[in-house]
Amino acid sequence: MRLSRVRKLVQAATFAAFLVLLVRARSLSGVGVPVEAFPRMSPFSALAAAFASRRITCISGVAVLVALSAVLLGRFFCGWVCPMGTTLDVTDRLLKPWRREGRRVYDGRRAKYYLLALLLLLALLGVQWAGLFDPLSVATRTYGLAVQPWATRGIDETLRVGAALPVVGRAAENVRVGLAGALDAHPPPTYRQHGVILLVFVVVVLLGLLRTRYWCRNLCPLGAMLGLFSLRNLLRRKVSDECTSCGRCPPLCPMGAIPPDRPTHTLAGECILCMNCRDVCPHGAVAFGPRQPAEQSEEVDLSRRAVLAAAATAVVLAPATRVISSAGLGSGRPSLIRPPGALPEVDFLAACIRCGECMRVCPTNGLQPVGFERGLDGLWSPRLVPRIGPCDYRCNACTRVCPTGALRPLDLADKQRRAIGLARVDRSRCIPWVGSQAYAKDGGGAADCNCGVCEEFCPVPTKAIRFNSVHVPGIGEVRRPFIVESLCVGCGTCEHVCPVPGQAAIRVEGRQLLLDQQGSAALGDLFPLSLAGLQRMESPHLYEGSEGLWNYIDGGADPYLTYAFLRAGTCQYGAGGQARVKLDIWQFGNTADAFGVHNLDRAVDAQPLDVGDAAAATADSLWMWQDKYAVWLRAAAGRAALKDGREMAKQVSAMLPPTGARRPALVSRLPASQQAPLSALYFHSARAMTLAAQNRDLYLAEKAIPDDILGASVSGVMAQYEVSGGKKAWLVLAGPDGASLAARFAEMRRNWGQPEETADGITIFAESDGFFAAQLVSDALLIAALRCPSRADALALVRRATRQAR
Amino acid sequence: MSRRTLLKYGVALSAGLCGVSQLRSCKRPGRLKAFKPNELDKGLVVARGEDAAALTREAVQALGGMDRLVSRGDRVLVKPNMAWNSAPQYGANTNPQVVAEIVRMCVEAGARTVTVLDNTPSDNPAPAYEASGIAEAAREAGARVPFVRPDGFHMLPIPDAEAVTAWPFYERVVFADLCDVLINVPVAKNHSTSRLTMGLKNVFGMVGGRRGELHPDIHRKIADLNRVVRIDLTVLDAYRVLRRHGPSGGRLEDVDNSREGARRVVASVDRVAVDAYGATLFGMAPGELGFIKASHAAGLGEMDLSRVGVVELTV
Repeated sequence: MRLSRVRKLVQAATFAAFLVLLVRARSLSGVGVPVEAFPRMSPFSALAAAFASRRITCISGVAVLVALSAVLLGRFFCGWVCPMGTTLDVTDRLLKPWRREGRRVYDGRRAKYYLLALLLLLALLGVQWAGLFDPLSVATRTYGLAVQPWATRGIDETLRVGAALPVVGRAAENVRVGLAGALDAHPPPTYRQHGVILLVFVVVVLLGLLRTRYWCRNLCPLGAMLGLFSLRNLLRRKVSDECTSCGRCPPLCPMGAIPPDRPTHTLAGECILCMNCRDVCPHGAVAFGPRQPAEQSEEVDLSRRAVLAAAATAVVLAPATRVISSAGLGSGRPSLIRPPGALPEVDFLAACIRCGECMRVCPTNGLQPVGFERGLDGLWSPRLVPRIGPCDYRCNACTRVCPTGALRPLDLADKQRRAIGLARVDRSRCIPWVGSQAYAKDGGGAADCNCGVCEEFCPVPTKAIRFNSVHVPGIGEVRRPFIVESLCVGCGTCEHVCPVPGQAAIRVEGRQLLLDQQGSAALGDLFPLSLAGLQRMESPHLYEGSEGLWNYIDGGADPYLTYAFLRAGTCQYGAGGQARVKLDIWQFGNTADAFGVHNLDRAVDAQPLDVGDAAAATADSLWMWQDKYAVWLRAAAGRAALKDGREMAKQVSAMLPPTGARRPALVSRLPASQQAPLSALYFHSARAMTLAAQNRDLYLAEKAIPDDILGASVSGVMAQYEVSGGKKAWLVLAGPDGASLAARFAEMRRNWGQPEETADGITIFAESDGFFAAQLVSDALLIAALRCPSRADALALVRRATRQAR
Repeated sequence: MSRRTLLKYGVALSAGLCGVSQLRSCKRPGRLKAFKPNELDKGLVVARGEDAAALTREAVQALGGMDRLVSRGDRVLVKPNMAWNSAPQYGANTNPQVVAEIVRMCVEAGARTVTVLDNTPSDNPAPAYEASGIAEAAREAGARVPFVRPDGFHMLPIPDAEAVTAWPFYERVVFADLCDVLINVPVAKNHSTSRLTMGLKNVFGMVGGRRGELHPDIHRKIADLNRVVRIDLTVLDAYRVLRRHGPSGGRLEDVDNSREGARRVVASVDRVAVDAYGATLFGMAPGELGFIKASHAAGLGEMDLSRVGVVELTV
């Protein structure tokens, strides 16, 4: 069999594989087929991406293999595999009648080497244009973003006309649906810039009017690179003495690698092993193999001057591209939404070879090539255009197909934690602000201004869009959307579905951010719909931040503000239209402060309960601490009893993070014996401490405990102890605050006037209503006994605590 | 034949074909589908149990059986909710077993074709069709599961409309020459705009146009759309109930899978009664929901459950 025919079969097979991988990319990538195999094969674009982004990982194994194949086999890849070469072989044949071989045109082999040098130098300077010239990128981009959409759209529209015809209509419709399925075109995709992308390709094809494979001979930088690799390759054209110089082979060489006047010679780095010359030779004089006679090879003459010129061009062009890019012009950074997994913008542009594979696999068609809005730098790189299609929350296809790793592979769970943008509401367009009249076609409009389509479609499981309800006079309750920035993944679904015509009233700007899932449990969701048989009677009222806390407690917020308060919610439960129980849930920034507020709030006479991390109850109230939450259940009306309190608490407990939170370390340093049950308190300020003590009938004179003895960085615990004669005294531990604790102790002593000091370093001070004793155990621990009935009790209490602390 | 003649005939033929095609697509919409006369029980059946398919079968059986509605040779359209790219356990789409069982019963009753479709919010319906598990299950049960044709929506006037006077409806749902029996198979979910979505709201998947515009004043618009579609039977899937973050969901914590709150299938020819019962699953009185009140007022069905014979059975 003639080898040139084998080559054509191989070409047809690889081109078919190329087309199948591209056309069915959406479905094939879903089952793990590496649809990006072809753009991944180019050692040229891989090297340029690696240079520009400083990432060696841009170079794939296949690219190395292709480079190695050149070392062994020469430009075998160009003749047998490259889809661009195959395309040109076909179009060159079609263009044959119009080709004028004799016409004098620029046919300089060196140009491609200079282009290669220029592009690699640019890459070294951080500007990566390789993707615009790499034949595999060009082919993937053109077939994927222009040819396939044009073809599928054309087929679809034609069969749509056919489907409306009598008789054949049904058959045409069935063919249309079947083809749309086979071509992954539900609906046929469209890409911006498709005309420009196709135009570039058409120009390359039309160069075939001058010479066959004009692109491969003179321009292709990948061909140049493979040519350089193949300078010592094993498979070379050898012409034996049987050659009569009949002149049959030179015109058949698609690369023009055989000089017509010297048919035994071959231009080095130009032969693509098409085997035409071997098959046409009537004498069998042409063979391929090692040991080509040296005189049969004609080396390329690369002039030093031109290489230097390429280098100089690169040095000038690299900063120039920066100037023309919109970022360089200082016109504000365009907030393009890059696909998930994208490297930081600069690295991304350096690594992206513009092959368009990510856009091909995007199931919503939302990924689109950037035009000139990001300057020359960003041409044909991918961006999400939510109005065309959002980023499907349950899809990570694009991250899996990037040939250079400009998009990092992300598994689905990881992808869902990464924001690619942030939505913002445009209050000058959003219906709940401007009213639906503004958009009603007939000018009438509905009286109802509620919309909420964005929230409805928000795919984040806990919704990144929520509502503020406001009362608008004359209209009533209006729910206005706002964005929870810590949850918004920027998928653009809201922008896509926004019913406002034209530009959406909610729009997404790009950002790349790893979201903290801690905030994902919304407080409102912790209020169950029914509680031990009672129905929830309203939406929970939520209070956020310090301002919210003032509204929530209505004036008494300041002791609580020193705790790491985040938010609180309250809601009523009842049956038959009558409220029976109120449930309050507080959320704090840490477990210790939740414990602190729990202890601060619960009644002195409460009895302990075994639910949550700690709980106590009276006849009409129940307090529970679990993880970062403090829960308060109470009978809604007056002095009614709280029935099924424990059952309700268990139900709430099940919605909270698991139990097992640790008490603050200081609490464990309080001596356990003789400690009054449930008396331990935990706080960060003297004000909280004073208030806590007051609730327990301990009135601390300012003289005894100055306000600044505690501060934001100091934690304190106190508990009540039984001392002699059945009386009560309080023990306080403060710390840790490093050196300043000593200063605070000195301040306290000064307040106490002229205290007495014992041999073991305890300061004692007597007031009319009791004895105070204190000791600075270390820089991190201050111990004080307050209002003891006798001097001995005060000393004993401090000594016990000191012993335990040591 | 000369090249000139060939060109002449070619141009004439394609012009003619285009003309015919144009004329046919301009034709007046056909006769609207009427309610299919049936001998089904007019009450409401609630089947509780563990096996979704068995629940569905028993619920329809208790109404008298599918063969009292579907006659031999009928073209049946089954409309589930399969709008979301979301797996069955998240309760955002109708349970595939419920849909498949409905299809099986229709096939057994002698239906000529059973078609399952939904107009998904996404332009590319494939992910939702597949992820919901409905496409596969329904195909296995013998149904055709096509995507909607983008040009298959026809603007129809809505008689006695209160909030929306005309809207594009999907041809297979409303035209008598394409559909004999329409079975609505919604799932019971929390919904941020309409509060709940069940059978009446599921009609949004039978219409086209810019559906976002239907959201202001949604309750009366749901009732208005229901004035046009002739739903012969509603089978509500409450096997899993998405209680929060509807209609899309995405967390198992939000899905009620309990025997007390979920695990049931509700069937009736009265679509308002089905939704009225569904509302009680969420602890709401039917009258609390605007779209139930409006649909009742529009004469589409009964919302007072005490006036509907409610049969509860355990499977």
